[in-house]
Amino acid sequence: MCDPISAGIATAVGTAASLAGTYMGAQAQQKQAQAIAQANQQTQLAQNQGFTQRMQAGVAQTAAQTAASQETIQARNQAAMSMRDAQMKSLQDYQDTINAQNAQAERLRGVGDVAAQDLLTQTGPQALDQAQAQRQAQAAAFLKENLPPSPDATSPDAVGSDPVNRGALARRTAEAATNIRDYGSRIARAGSYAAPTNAINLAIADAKYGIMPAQHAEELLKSGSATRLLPSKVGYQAATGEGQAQDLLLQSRGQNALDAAGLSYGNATSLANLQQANADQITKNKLAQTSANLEAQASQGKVIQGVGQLGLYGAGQYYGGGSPLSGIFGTGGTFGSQGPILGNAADASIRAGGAPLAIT
Amino acid sequence: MAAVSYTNPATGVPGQYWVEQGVPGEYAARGATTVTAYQQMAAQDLSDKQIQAQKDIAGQQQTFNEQQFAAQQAQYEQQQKQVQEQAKRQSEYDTGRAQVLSEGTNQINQAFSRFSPDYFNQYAKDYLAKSQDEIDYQRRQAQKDLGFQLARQGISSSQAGVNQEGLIEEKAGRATAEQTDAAQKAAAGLQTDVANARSNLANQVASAESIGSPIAGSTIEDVNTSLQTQRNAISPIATSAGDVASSLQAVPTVSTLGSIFSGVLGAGGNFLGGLQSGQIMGQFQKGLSGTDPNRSSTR
Repeated sequence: MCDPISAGIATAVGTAASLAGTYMGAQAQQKQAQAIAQANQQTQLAQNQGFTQRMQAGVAQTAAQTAASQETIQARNQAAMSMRDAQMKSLQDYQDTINAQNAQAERLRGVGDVAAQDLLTQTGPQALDQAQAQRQAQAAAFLKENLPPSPDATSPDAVGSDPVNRGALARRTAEAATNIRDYGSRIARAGSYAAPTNAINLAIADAKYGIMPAQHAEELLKSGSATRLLPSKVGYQAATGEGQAQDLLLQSRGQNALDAAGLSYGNATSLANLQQANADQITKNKLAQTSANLEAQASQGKVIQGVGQLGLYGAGQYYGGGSPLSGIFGTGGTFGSQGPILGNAADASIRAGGAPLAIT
Repeated sequence: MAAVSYTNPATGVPGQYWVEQGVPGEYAARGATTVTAYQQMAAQDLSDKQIQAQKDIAGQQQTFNEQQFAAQQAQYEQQQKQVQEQAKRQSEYDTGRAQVLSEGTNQINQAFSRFSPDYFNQYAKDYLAKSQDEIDYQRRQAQKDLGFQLARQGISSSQAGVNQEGLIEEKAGRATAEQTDAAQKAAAGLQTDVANARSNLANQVASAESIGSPIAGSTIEDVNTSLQTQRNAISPIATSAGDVASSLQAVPTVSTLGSIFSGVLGAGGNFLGGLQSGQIMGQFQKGLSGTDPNRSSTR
């Protein structure tokens, strides 16, 4: 069935096919290694890019939150200082109002002090003694003005013009005058005891009357005090309320800035994670595809190698002159005791995921 | 790869795109050709929307806070303005009330300014002068009566007559002394009445001024109206101060002195009658015993 030429061709083609299949398997193994290395490189690159993006997001967040916090603190500090200034001004206004009212009350009290001092002076022992003495002196003066005149020796009267009688009348009139003065002084002394009481009553009445306007003004001062103090109280409350509201406003604004920075960071991180995950997945997918392609290429190589082996088998049978099977693979054949030369061992190694066997 | 169609809603222009399966037309129109690109683009869009929404919410909250803060400030300013104006009106009101009271007091002082120490001294003098006039009148009458009595008795020039004359003078002087005390008491009483009247008027002025709200009105017109009302209430009282003062200026009224010298004249008459009778009886007895009644005694 076979001539020597055909056997030679079969031998050559079989050898070439076997070598070509073996080469194709080796190429597949090499490309597989390169694909894995490239996949590793891409994965590392994606991880590095993700890491860089996350780091940049963190740095940006830190900077944004720091700036927001500093701005908030400065604004809150300024607002708090303004509030304190306004509060201090209100407190000062309150104190000024009290001082003004106290000064006015002091002036009014001065009027009362003067009146009280006058009252004490007018009702003191010396003044009362003086009032009593004045009363007596006044009575004596009044009486003196109205005492009967001394008898005139030439004037006619009831006793006639007898010099003896007139002398007697003069003596009697003088005696009467003495008696009148004595009596008058006794009456004046008795009456003078009412003078101190009267002086006290008049002094009290004068004092009451004198201090009445100041007393009334002091009542007005007291009754209107709360109204005059109200602006400073309201001012303090307003300063406090405004300051607290301003602080809350600034806190809210600062918190919003912090939240915005946090959201930007979270979103940037998520996006970086997504990009990294996508890159990883794409790399894995490409690697798997490449592995499958290379495995198919290796299988094709094995088929070609098998065809080559088959050609070599036929040629060997021809040259052995015996049964084609026993002449090549039988105990007496060319490759009978050697078993499979290449295909089966390489296939097993590749299928097991190991490194391709060296071609001998 | 698959073809997707997408119509731009803004322009209405349709388009067809050849992209990886799963890529929506909206993103294909924006340039996404793979699912990965679409997802990253969508994630970026979501992030942008979230951040924008957060900014919008923060902006709205800030606007709300600022509006409320501005409203609060306006309220505080209004409140501050009101209480400041009220405090100012209160001071003007209190000052005005004190001024009204001072005006009323000044009118009272003016009306009572005539009541000086000299005035009361003169009052006592006038009182005493009036009394003294009556005393002098009665003394003159008593002296005349005594003169007639002595003349009728024929003992005009007698020691008894001299004594009676002295008694009349003494009685007159004692009455003057008593009236001096009465004049001083009357002056003191008038002084007390004046002081009481002045205090009563002042109290009425203060009471009239005190009627009214202690808190100033809500407008300056209300304050002025209240002050005018109080001024009107005080005005009649202050005006009447002059009438009250005038009523206290009445001429001193002196109590009737009665008959000061009746006792002296009666006693003098009895004395003189007895004396005369005694002299007659003495002469009669001497006549009975032989003694010359016209001879003077040697004892």
